[in-house]
Amino acid sequence: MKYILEARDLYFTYPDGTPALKGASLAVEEGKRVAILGPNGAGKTTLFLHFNGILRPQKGKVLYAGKEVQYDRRFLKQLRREVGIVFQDPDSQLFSASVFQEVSFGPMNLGLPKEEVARLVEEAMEATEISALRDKPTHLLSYGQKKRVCLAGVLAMKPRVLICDEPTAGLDPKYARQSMELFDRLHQRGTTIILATHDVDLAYSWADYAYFMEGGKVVGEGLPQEVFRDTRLLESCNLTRPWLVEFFELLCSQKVLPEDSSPPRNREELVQLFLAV
Amino acid sequence: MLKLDCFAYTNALRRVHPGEKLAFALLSMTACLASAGPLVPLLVLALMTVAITRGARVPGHVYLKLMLVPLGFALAGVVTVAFNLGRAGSTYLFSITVHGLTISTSYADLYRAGLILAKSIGATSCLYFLTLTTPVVEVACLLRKARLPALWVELLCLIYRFIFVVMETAEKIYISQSARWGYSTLKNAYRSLGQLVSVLLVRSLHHSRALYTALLARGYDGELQVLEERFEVSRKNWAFITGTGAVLFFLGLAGRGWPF
Ligand SMILES: Nc1ncnc2c1ncn2[C@@H]1O[C@H](COP(=O)(O)OP(=O)(O)OP(=O)(O)O)[C@@H](O)[C@H]1O
Ligand SMILES: [Mg+2]
Repeated sequence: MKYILEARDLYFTYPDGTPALKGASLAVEEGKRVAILGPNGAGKTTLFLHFNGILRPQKGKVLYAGKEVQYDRRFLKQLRREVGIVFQDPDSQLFSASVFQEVSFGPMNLGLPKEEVARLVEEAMEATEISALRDKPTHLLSYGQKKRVCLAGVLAMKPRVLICDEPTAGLDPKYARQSMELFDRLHQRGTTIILATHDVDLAYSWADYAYFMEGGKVVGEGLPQEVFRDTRLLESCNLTRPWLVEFFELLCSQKVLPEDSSPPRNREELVQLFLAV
Repeated sequence: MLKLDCFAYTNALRRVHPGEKLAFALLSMTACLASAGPLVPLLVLALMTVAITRGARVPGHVYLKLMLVPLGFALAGVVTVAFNLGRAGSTYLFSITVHGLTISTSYADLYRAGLILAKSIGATSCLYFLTLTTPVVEVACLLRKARLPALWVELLCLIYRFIFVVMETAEKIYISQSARWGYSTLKNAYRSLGQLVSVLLVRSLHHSRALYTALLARGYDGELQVLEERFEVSRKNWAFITGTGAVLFFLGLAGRGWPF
């Protein structure tokens, strides 16, 4: 097993004295779809900021592709090229009034020739379906549109690991689904994807692996079909069980389904399960 | 101000090369200001009016309203040129005396006032042409090409973006305050406004920090490098711009005020 990103026992306290991370450890395998869940203030965003070297842990270390992260210019530059973060609040990411310029910022920093940058920008705008917005200033875009522009800005750098902080919050169902499909396409091309989310149904159906954070620590992890049945863990993170799990356990307890069958991951699997009995 | 900004992004000349629009506006403006008589300023005004309402398809009433603002200022300023306190020389046109104070005017004074008025309105129409057809971002690109220090241009772009962020934040705070009766009495209003301003300050600070973080995450290292969109250079447009520019300059300078 090869870990692309690893956090080992991270401690981080903000300058105002808020301890945001208190010994957080996790390891993400390359090419996996990983969901990180946890209540507000659990430290998800803070952890992400450690993954591309913006914050430096006061204790513990961060490893990228097996190497310990060095905080010198050269290492950070390479790290930030390969680990892209899409932030929670789009307004704090957009610096330009022009959609095109905004998306071009990342690839320009990689020092690529202009034609190459233009190509990457067009590709990213197409993938996020914002080509039609190119003539609009960013301040006239809706929240969801801004979010997609931010995603395009990071995608254009072709990161090896894509980290998204609540990517579907504020998107309408159509674009939420499209974003998830986009993530799946990137995943098929080998990109490792890490999402922070509060949406248990989404995390349950989509992720290959899930982590739960609470109070600055990772309090649980595992395969979705296992961890999402752990009611106590979910409750400690202010989360509810996915409806599929809930429904599945109801069917099991009513003896409609055999006790040892494995829970369905999505609607189709549920239907299959039903038709089988 | 906000409306101006919207038209800059939606007008019919949006896809025209910003350099051409800038050249057109600047050339016409220089010809207008350098002209010896009022003919050229009036021609420039007519040209810009057509360019804005027909070319860029900005609705006529919007343009008219926009022009009325500077017209008011210009008129107020020009009055002091047209009328003199105290008795003018022998060429005065008329004078009236009120309470021993004499106000007079002459042909020369009126002509001068008219010229100033025409020039200022003509020049304003050129500036409106530029602001109504060219987004700030594209003007900034031109400034960068003109070798202005990168820092200035970056600052201009950031300030421009932040104006809208701050305005949006202020609006949200205002709405949430008034929804809770924050502006129901004068006393409440004073207090709410004070809070709004201080919260705005703190938010802006926080916002700039978050923006810096996000820029770092995308490999920012001291310079906001962006790719600028390409525009087609049109020979026809350049021919038109240089043609009208030449005619305007010729009329304004060679004629030395002809035909007035
Ligand atoms: N810039 C900051 N300065 C001081 N404290 C901060 C700062 N950013 C976050 N915190 C604090 O650190 C803790 C963890 O915050 P973090 O943003 O990592 O949580 P999160 O898991 O992303 O929450 P959410 O789901 O609300 O996004 C919180 O208690 C928060 O108040
Ligand atoms: Mg967060």
